[in-house]
Amino acid sequence: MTKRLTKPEMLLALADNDNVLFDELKRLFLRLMPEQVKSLELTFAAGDTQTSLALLHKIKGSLQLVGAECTIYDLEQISSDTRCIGELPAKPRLNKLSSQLRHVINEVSQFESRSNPENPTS
Amino acid sequence: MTTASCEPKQKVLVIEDDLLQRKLVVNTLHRLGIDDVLEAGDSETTLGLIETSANGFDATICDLRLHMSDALDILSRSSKEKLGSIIILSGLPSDVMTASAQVLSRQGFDVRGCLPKPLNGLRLKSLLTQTNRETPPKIPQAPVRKNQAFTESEIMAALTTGQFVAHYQPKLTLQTRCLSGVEALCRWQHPEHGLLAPGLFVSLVEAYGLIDLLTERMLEQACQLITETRDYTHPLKVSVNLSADSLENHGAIQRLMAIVREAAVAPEQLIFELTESTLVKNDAQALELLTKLRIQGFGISLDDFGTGYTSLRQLRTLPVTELKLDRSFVTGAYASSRATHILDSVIGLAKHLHLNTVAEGIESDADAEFLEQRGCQEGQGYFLARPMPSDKLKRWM
Repeated sequence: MTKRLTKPEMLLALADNDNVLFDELKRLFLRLMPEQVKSLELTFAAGDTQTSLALLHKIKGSLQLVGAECTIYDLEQISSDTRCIGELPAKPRLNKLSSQLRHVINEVSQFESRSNPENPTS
Repeated sequence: MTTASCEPKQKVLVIEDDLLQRKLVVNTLHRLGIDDVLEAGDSETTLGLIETSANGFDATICDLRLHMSDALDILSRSSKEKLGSIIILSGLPSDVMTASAQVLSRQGFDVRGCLPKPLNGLRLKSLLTQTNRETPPKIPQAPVRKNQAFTESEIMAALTTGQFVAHYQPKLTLQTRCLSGVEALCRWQHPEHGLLAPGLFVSLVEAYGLIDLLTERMLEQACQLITETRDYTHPLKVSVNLSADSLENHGAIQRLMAIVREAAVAPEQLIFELTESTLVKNDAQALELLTKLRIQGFGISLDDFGTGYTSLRQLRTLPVTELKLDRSFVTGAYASSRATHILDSVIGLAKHLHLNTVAEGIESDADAEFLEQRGCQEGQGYFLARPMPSDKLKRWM
């Protein structure tokens, strides 16, 4: 069984258990996060340290909303190392983070608030 | 979060460039019974909303780091009366948020408090309903030094012809004795008098109002060094001295940031060093500009720590990342129990505040070993390495 990377219930709690608001926030997350991840991958590829740090900061904010603690930890390590050494870490670490972020997006997309009539079993 | 409402008919402005975070804030406000909410994601929209809002806002909730700008800039360009109470909402470290709140308070804004992300509705409600606020402390003034020797035109000519050169003194990690960074020290390569030490001209440069230009020249050279050493095993961190006068000038700090941006150097590789007297000489504006530098990622070091007027209270509020222990506490400290107690206290304090410590005036192996045993992280001094021009430094590295 794959370990869960997120706790989207946190987003539901932040929405005060309002399913309509949760769905709206979730839709926004699923619209914005893939764009941010794509931008991040481009800045990683370009070796653009400063833009990468700014994007990592922004993505961290979004990850906090869905309780993606492990990914936040990895992301902070990369940010901290980048600040310390002045350049981005090696590609495998960056690729691993990208992959985790995509996994996070996937998990959030599959999460449904309990009272959603379209998915009563979740 | 309970949905009990705040005061009715409040009008709130939300400044947040992240759409998801903004949505969450706006909806939280709606849940608190505040429906009159305006949103802005950038400086232009913010200023437009403030201008067109005839009666202004009861409160403004503001993220600190916005795309291409920071909130301090936007707010300082806005009418205090129109913005109402300010609530800072940010994912930046708490010391940066606290310093930002101090900056805004000193500018006359009614700052209600700071909230970390993700937004907690109950805490927001508590801030929106509170009425009291703490007044930040005033920093006293210190006198300006003056000197007479070189003329203004001589110094201006030296600035424009590149006679002020940076020499770099390495800082070493005491535990490993590996290079951890360098401090850029200004020298005047005078066509007649040869290489002049800063004590002979810096106070004059300040008195003539040219210190910003000198800092710019030093920063340009520091950025060039960082760029030239990019392929070395360890990317270099360079410290540059910042004068009191530069901290009284918004434009000067903007130009420094622009130099770093144009050089495509990560701000995290640069540390601005301030003496305690520099900080004492300025108050609200110095704090604001230091905070802006921290927001961008620059380090802030407090130089000559222990010799000036820096109180524990100031250390609590200033967004400092590093303490440089003055040489008077370092050189030969191993032979004095009183000096040892002082060092232990200062290093312990720095650790608790999560500040990096650098010992200046390491003049013997005994000094280096002693400071390392006391827990000081880095050292600088003639025993470890003397200041040197950039070409020599690159060979030394």
